Amino acid sequence: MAAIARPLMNDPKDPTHITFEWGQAIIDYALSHGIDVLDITGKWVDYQNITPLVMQNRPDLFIYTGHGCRNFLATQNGCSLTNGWKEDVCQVQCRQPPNLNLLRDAIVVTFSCHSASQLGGCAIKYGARAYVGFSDYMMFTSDGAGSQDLFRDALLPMAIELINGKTVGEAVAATKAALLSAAKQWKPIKYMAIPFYWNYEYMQVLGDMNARLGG
Amino acid sequence: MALFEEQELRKAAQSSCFIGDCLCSDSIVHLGPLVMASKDLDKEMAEGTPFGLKLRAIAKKVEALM
Repeated sequence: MAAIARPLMNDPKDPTHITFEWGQAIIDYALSHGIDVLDITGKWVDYQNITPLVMQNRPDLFIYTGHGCRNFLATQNGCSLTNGWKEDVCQVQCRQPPNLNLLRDAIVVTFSCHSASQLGGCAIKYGARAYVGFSDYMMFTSDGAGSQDLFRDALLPMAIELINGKTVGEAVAATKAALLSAAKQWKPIKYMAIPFYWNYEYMQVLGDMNARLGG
Repeated sequence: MALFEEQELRKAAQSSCFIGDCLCSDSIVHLGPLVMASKDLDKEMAEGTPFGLKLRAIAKKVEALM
């Protein structure tokens, strides 16, 4: 089973309103490939709700599409998943006790900033099979012409290739190849090329590169 | 720090439907700790903030792409 947490911030211009839709694309793809999905959305994505939901369902694949800090994943109501450490990047602090151990044996994919820098390493220590995310900002453009869709297409292989049965290493390689290709394609336009290459540079994978769903 | 000349930008604009929007300084969003933070790449790089220095390094690598 896969679980996906898609927080939505109140501000309709917040980028979570874009990544929320990316999450829907992942859900649709997973369901069409026979994978059950636990969809935790909007206001339900907070520490109080996500803790029992993950504990009861023990997903093989856990996906997060929302704001991230070094030591926790963020929501409208503070944090959702945390290693319990004091935060040193975010303006807000997460004061909840750690619940990261609930991702033991899961492959974790985060479309979030920062979390691979510290939270990811903790997840591996707690027993997660692999953790894919970003060690700095995850950036994309957002405009009326739909350039955010180009970033969606380059980034979503992180999850889609796992659903296709590929290993974590293969999924990351496919994503990095897509990001690099897009950076080259958009080289003349820095506002496109720099975010593509930034994501390519700061995308990180921790844990078992050979892990795969069901394997 | 200009990454490419205005002339090149105009040339790119003719072949891209996105460039008009990409020129907006607030068109870059991220999922970091500052909620709905938007980044002006030129401003960050010019000011040499820690983030701007990282951007400069990325910009150099982009320039070197074949």
